[in-house]
Amino acid sequence: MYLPLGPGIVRVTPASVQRGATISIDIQGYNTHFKEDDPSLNVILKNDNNLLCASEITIGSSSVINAEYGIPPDLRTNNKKDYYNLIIYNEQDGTFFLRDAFAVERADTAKGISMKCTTILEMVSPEGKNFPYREILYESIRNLFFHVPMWFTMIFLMLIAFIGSILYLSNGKEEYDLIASSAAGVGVFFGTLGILTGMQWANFTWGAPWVNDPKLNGAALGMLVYLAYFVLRGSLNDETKRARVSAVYSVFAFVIFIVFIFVIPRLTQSLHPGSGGNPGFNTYDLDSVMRPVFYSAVAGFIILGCWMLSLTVRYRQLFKIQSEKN
Amino acid sequence: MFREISLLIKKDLLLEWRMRYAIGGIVLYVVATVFVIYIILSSEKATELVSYRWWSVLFWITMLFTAVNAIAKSFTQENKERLLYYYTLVRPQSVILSKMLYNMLLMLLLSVIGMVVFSLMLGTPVKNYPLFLLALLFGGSGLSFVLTLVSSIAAKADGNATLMAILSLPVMLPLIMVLQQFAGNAFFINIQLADVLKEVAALAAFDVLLVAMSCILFPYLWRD
Repeated sequence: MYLPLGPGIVRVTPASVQRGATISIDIQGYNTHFKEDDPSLNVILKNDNNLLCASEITIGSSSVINAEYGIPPDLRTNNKKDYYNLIIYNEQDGTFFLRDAFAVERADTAKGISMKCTTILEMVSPEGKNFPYREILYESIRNLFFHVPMWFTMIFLMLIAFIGSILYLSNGKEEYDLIASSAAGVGVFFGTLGILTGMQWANFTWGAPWVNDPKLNGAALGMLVYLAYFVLRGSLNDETKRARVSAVYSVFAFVIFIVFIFVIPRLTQSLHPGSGGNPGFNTYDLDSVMRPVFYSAVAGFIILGCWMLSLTVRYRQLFKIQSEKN
Repeated sequence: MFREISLLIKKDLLLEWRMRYAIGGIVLYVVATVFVIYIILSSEKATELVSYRWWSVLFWITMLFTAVNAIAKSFTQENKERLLYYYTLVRPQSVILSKMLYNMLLMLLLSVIGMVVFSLMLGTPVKNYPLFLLALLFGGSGLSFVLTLVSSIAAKADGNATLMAILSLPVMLPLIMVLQQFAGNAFFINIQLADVLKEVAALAAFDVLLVAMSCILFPYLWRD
């Protein structure tokens, strides 16, 4: 948890310039280690066609640098505004970049020739262990270890409730009803935690605690379904009837819940990674440092959920024996 | 089985005919709801401001609550002795399928009435009627399928109306979302059936899923 984030670029000012001008850009870094007289430091602007090398680099502090670029008047541009990725390399921090950081605007319509630059950069990881630096997420990327496993645990417990309900319907043993209803209870607990961590995260990254997103709606729907399940249980007094009727509802609701959270988000837009055209965390965000922590967090939370489930079941069994004695 | 289903539907129609006030009550419910919407909008001087989006929101909310009210009684109106009598005569699947088909007919009737009343009072932004009627067909059948099973669950807890609403609203949500998106296409003249095939397929698949689950689950509810 105390691992620092990797180096990154927070902002670039100014963010655009016209062709033919000489521009000095202030670059604000994050967790970077810029040093005076570092021969390895390289600050370049690059897109698919062009590569611009800084003519002069001034170091402000370990996280602020100023780079000067002379934009040639005959620079090849494809659009009215060509966006460039800013790529920085130094020995300690490795390579890091900001996508579409800087724009070169075309003042006239003449087509120029492409500019050659000899600097070749490969992606180099920073020294030491770091969590990846991501725009928008920043330090909150650690929430991945809490928020996502909580949802996994909830879905896992709901699955147990679903299987327990099916088993109860097929052979009518009382333990299965006990397991199913306890699993639903612990699942709702984890769902609440998932909503709370998610709301905090959404407030930081998307600017509001609740946004209209199919996954959020799915989560809310799951919670509503299982809260309704408990109301249904509460309104039935006969024990076997309660078990049977609530098992039927639980099976029915779980299937619809699964349809909702796995199918609907693929039909509509989502802010979450991995749906609606967004890449999943896997493709570029989950790097080798986060992966082991994330997977063990998922396993840990699921085991914690199962342990809480077994405690609840045992407590309720004991409670029943106790009340039968009296 | 088909004979059983058709007989049971015939029985339901006959019962409905004998208790004409019940269906009259539901129709009145739709008209009164739309009238309330109209009064509130006109007191805000906003009837002209109802865009097609708001029209669609109000329409589907009205349909949703009409459906909950109309279908809630489908199992509570039958007393225990009569259900026991069916139990000796027919398969449980026939009972649930006949109820589902009957409620589907009822919902189709109610949604057409709802559309007419909405158009009369609030005007209509619908441009593509065949598409909208298709949405009503899928929507009405989906809603009635969900609600039939839920009403049989709620009937076990003595048909509490609140219970019916809280049990059914979350499970109807996925249907409503796809439906609203789909029906929204009917507000534009130039949309062809081919453009919305994905949504039609999703709705049809959802309806099939509901029918299958009801047939599997209802036998467990039935025995008492």
